[in-house]
Amino acid sequence: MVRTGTGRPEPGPLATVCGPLELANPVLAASGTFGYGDAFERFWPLDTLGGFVTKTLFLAPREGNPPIRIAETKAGMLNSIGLANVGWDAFVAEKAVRVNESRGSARMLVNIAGNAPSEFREIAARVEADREVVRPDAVEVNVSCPNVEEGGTNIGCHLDQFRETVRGVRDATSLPLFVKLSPNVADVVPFAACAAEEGADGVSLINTLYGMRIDVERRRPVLGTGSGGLSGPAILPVGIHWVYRVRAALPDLPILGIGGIASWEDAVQYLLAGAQAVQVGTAAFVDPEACPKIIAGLERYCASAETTVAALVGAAHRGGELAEAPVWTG
Amino acid sequence: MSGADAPAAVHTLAVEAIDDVAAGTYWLALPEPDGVECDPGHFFMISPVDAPAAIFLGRPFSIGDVRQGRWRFLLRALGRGTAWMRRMAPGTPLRVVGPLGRPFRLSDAAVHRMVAGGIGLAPFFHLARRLRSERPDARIELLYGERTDAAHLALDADERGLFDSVERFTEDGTRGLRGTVIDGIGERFGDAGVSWYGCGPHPMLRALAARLAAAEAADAQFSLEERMACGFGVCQGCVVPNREAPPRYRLLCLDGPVVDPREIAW
Repeated sequence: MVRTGTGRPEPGPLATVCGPLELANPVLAASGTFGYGDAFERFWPLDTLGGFVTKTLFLAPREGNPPIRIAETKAGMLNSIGLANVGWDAFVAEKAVRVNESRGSARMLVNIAGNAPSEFREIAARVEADREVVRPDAVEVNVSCPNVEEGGTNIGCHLDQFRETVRGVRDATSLPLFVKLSPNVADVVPFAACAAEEGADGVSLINTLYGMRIDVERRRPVLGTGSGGLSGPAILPVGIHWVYRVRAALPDLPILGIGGIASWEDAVQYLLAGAQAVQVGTAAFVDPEACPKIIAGLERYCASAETTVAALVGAAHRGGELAEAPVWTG
Repeated sequence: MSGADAPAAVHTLAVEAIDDVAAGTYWLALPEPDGVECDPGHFFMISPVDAPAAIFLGRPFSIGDVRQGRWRFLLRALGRGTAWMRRMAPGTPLRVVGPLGRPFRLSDAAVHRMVAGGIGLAPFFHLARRLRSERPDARIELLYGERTDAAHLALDADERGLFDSVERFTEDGTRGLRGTVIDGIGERFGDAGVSWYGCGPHPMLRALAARLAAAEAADAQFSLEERMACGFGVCQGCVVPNREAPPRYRLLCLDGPVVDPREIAW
């Protein structure tokens, strides 16, 4: 068991183990919705969480996409932020040390990306070199990035580029490694299998779905970039579907479940589908207290149902028949 | 106070009243929580606790007025969120996150001239009330334009008393002087000793910024509006381009909504 965090989680009904991560509770704040760990401290203490994932970091800072960057949808939102971030050096100098002072037992996953597989390897090497200062508990790789060396194809949607990227990161760091999978593929399972083959310790799924909204008065897309990533409750069933499928195909691969979680019941669905822990993102934009409320709801549920988070993980598969059922094909 | 330091909290407040004051325009009144100070220009992210599916995100609204123990927000039913909120019954619970952002700075100018286009009138009641209290000798002027008479807000006696003068304009000439509020300022751009405040649609503010720059007016503050998902710096949705880069963009929720118009790339 790797232990790089700053405190040991209290054992309790919410404790969970996701591969190399020991978590005090199964709720993490998702990448891109939690800044660098410092954004919600005005509302509640950071050590409330099981963990958090930083905004995606590149080696160099990025200003992001031109406006309009966000658009509301029914039960969700589209974003086209363009992976704006402060860059690795500024994160190390201005964010990491301070966050480590306040995070207690909350695990920190640093989310990284690059403009090509080679850049993923470079930043992973920097994470490795700075690990004594930054003290990350794991690396999460955001493969949903355009590959500038391959005409802008999405690395997370092409298995060969995906494999090259994960392999490079795995070579560059010995930190626990999670790969965040894109749902914008015909089948997520081969990508999860590939991540496992290349030595990832687990997978995070799902990232946002491609989406677009069109302004009917202006007769053009609302977002400045046309399309964006759909998140929020609208995508909850998609995330649960893929967590369930990956768990059925790869029962030993640790999973961080993501996508549309806004309540403790949503989180329990992911646990039952096979995730050892979950990430909450967009819901916290609307209600900054979403994460503490979900944790409190899980505590009440576990107490009233006389169960534990660990006992819930994958429970929807037990009995075998569901896991063996054919994939619905319409 | 910078936006990042604003004492934001999540409040659950029940609607006390919704009062129509012009076509599609209403005051939303909420009970003022104890011990929460909000300054003119601060904003709140407001969303229904039990939201219908069509409304997912909160909406940013500047504090309109603080009066008789109520936070008042001036809203106009322009989209599905504000249309839905107009039909809320008293008692409807709202999630109110704030106060957020960077508020107006109170200057020592002899004249405070507020230039409002449409629903951009919203933040000026609380601003005028605060100036009345803290700058009792200052003159407070309001120039307020709408497309047409039906959209013009009815002010009650208390609100009317916040301003030493109120000039109204309509683009179609159905009330007050015909033309935009910018036209109405006329020769007064060069007046000395004036603090300028602007709030309204982007084309109006762009024109106002250009005229103020031409007149070398140094003391101006605009309250801008942008789409926001969170309101406190996380979603990175509310970018406004800076005149001098880098950085190319600012986040309006933290480095706004009140800005110096000279810093913005209009």
